[in-house]
Amino acid sequence: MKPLPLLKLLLGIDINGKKNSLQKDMCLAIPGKIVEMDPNDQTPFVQTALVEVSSVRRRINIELIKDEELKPGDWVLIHVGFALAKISEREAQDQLRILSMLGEDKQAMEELQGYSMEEEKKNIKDTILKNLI
Amino acid sequence: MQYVDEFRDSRLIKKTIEMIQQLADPTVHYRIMEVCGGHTFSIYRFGLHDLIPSNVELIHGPGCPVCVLPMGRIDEGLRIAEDPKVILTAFGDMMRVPGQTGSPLVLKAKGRDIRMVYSPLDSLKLAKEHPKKEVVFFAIGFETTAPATALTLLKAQEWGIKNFSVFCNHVLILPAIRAILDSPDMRLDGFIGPGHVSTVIGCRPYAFVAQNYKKPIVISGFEPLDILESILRILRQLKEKKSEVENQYGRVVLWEGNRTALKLLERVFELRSYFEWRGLGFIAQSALKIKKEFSYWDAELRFGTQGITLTDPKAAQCGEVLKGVLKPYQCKLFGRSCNPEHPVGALMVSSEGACAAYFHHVYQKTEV
Repeated sequence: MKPLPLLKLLLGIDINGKKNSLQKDMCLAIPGKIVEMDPNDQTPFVQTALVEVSSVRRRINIELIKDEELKPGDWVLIHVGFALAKISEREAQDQLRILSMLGEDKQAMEELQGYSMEEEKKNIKDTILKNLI
Repeated sequence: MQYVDEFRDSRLIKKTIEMIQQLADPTVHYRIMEVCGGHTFSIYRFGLHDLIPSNVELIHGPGCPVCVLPMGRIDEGLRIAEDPKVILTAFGDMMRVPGQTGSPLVLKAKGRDIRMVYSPLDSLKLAKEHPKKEVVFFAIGFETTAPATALTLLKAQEWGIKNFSVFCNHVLILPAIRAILDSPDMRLDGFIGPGHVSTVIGCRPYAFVAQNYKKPIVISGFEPLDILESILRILRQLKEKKSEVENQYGRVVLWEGNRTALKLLERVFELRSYFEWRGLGFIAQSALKIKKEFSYWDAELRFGTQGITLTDPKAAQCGEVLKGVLKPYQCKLFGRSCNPEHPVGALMVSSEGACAAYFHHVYQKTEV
């Protein structure tokens, strides 16, 4: 028996059992964290930053978002070797907060209390492992 | 904040699915198109189509740059590589796309110098390192990739690199969406809008979808929670009889887009009067051409192209799948003579192609 996609989702892995791998394909842009800004003294002139994506580091061109005040610790969206946009943490948090308030009513709130995600994850993991063995 | 795990939070995902179930009227059959191949990939990869009610049908759109490139253009590019002086460079997912004479990979095996690059700037560096060679970059992609090509052309001019040129196949997503909306055999209720294209063009250009065609369009991120929330927002608009442009991907997409990138596109490219799309035919003003100022670096002028139009293999029904008229598995060749190992049509090549995504994540699982 194969575990259902939903269970996989709960474990944060995809159907093929991979965690977020670095995509080779061109179209999928990925978030990466700026580790250090390069001194802009290179000739010929190229503006880059050292960016970390799932523990792989790479120099990324940042000229498309040169108007953003970038600093180490910022997250950017990377696509074909270029940073395409700066990712806004505040926007991301707002979005998650709004989603977590979706359809909240009293009953749902009660259900959520005493609801331990970790425990559930563990149970599902055990179920999946059992099915694999 | 890692911007990935948070958007795969199972509690929020469950909740969003419950909200979708509540909102979707069970007596209505909804048809929602995800325009972008990146969304198609995510939907199959995470099995999202199995998590939403069965009367909410997701239709795969034309937003996969490899898949919409007509065979003739691939052959033109490969013809350039016949010159022993030429090093042809392309993105990884271009390498296996079949032209009439074979794919870049097949020609590479026959001894042509064809190389995979991660970024167009890497091609320019290659030209600097090999001054005796002609380096040609096979540029494909929508508005997401075009600014990178534009910047590379600007640098080629700035640094005076003469042995470099670009074979430009950049296309625009809006004319394709319009072509789909005008297509007589399509009935769609709403759109999941492309996220990464919109980082460049912003949200304003989609107004015609909402205003003229009265369809909701929600610009969406790529994580499971993003896509589910976008479906939820589309259903909410439909319920309230609205049609608006919404931005679900606000953490990345600004309403007005990326000014720097747009200025670059304006600086380097102009519109082609028409361009051929695989499956959709010729669409007016749907692609980019290199401006006169940069014509020195235009491979089409340097090597002379003939404008070949080739028809796809007859049996392959890529066009119908691209337009969302057929599902991948309804094509006569699917999984038989056309599979990711031996793709007949382009939709089987890139992981974002509807057929390859379906094959890897659904079809193979059921065959085992």
